[in-house]
Amino acid sequence: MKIKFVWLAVLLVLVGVFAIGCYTVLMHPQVQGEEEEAIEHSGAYYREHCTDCHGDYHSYPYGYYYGFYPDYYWSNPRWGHYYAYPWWWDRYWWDDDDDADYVPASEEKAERRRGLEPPYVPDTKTPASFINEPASRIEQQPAQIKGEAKPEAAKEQIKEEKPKDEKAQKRRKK
Amino acid sequence: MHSTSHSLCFLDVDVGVDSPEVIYMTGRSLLTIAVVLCLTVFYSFASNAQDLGVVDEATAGNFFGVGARAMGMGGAHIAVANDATALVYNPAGLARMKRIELSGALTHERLNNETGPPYGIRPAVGNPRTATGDGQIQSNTRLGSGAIVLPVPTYRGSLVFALGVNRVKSFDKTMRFSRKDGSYGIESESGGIYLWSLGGAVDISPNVSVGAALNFWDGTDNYSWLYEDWYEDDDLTFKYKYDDTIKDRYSGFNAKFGVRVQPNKFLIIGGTIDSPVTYTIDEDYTQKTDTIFYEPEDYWVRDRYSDKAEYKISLPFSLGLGVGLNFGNLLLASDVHYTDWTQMEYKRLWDMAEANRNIKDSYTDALRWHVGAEYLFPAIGTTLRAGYYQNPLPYQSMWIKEDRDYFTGGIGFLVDQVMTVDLAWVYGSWELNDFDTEIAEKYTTNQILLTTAYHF
Repeated sequence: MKIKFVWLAVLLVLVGVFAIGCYTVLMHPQVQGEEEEAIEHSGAYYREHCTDCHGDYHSYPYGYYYGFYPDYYWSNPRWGHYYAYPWWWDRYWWDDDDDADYVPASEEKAERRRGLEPPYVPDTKTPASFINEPASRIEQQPAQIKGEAKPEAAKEQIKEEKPKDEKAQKRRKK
Repeated sequence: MHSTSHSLCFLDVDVGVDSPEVIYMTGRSLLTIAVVLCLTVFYSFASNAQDLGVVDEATAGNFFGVGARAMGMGGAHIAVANDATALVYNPAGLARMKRIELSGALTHERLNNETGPPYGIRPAVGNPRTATGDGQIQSNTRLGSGAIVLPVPTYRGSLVFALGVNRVKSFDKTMRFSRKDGSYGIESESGGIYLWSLGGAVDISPNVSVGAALNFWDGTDNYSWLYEDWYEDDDLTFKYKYDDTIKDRYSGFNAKFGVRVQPNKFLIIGGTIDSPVTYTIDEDYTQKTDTIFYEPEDYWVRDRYSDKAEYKISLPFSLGLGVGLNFGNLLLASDVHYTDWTQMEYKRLWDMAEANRNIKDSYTDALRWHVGAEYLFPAIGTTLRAGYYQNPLPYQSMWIKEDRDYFTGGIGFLVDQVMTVDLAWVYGSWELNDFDTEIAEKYTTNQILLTTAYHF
């Protein structure tokens, strides 16, 4: 009889975790009013860069903050690649089939294999120190990571950078 | 355990004559029956004696390490498991995995048994029943594990599923003794239980993960017992030999639940609960006895008895707690596991009331504990490991001279960012004194574990 109660308790916990919700997010919530918009990683779509909506993305980038990892995962990229870099961030090839004939140059593939960098953030907006250091080292992080307000000029810079994304331009060649 | 439930059995008795003398068959048959009955009674005693006077359930307290990284660290892995072995040690650790992993392992064990007069007592001078020095070595190479881990893409947190099979219990064992009077016994056992697991883990906060695994236990235990001895008095002299085999097939289900908490970058805490597992055991056994009479006349008797049985045994809850400390490149880990073996229970056994009373009388609760360390040399992609664990025998006995303890060491390599090769060595020893049969048993084991994992 006791066993049945244990199983019932476990079942309730599992249902609670998965049905009611928990910290883990599998799909990005749909933005009201934008349901019909197709998501293209073109550089033009505002949701391509997580920082456009999430001001604290540099502190807690989605899919990037996996608890307190030992420092060596960060300071030694090969260990970081093995343990901490999610497989779904690998961007060796284009995601969509509509450009199947396109073969990236080796430099471009190398660029995508850098690893330990959150996706969809322009290079200029992801401080190198954050990539290589654990988030717990607050004192070593740039000002915007500490939660301070970003300079206005930075926002304007984002808007200017998007059309310059060469990868996105290649995707639009048709 | 040796069951005597009778579902199908047959008894063959062959009688041969080595002497040309004419013998009255009626008298010989009565003598044969009397001796066979005596041997059966003695066999029961001998069987119990070799089982240390308790119901010797091979699955109780039987821990066989999984994974070279874990065993290099003394098996202390509840808090720090972050590979496919988390299915066995703490399913919540799966949540720390971000790459698709395919892994496999081989194990090699060399068990060395030595027997002799019991330690602590002086063998009686001139006593032919005193054991002489003897022993036996048994080596086994087995497939240790195979697993695949599939992390689900997430925007935040972690969701990971895994499927694996791991050899978690080993029945490989041997023992040989001999006495001055020429009698000897050889006990051999081989096999193990594989754990087929389907598990998953999810982050429920930035630093808290929970996980569960559904387990199917499947395995075989092949046991054999060979014993040869003499009986002699003024009227009767005969030699007899047992050659018995027992084959048990185990199957059962249970679940394991785990939690992993990392309150800061230095500390990791893990906890696990193993639900009770009820094994269904299909047993085939054969008892063969050859008896050669010399007095009052020369003839021999061959007795063969086979039977099948099915019974169940339920193993109780098991609780585990682990702590990990991370200091830069140094990782320290410690685990404790608690199981109250007196709650073990036989079911569907015709004499299960007595068997269960023996469990209450003989077994005890046991605390298995592990400590280990891992140091990383990041520049050369190499880790060194060391550990220790104690795995107490789960029953009370004055015959336990030295409990089971193990020293471990290991090394690991990261190959081209996508593959690891880990090697571990485990050395263990324990000693038993059987004062009834005046035999001391000493066991040492050397295990090699080789694990490789590929990350896609």
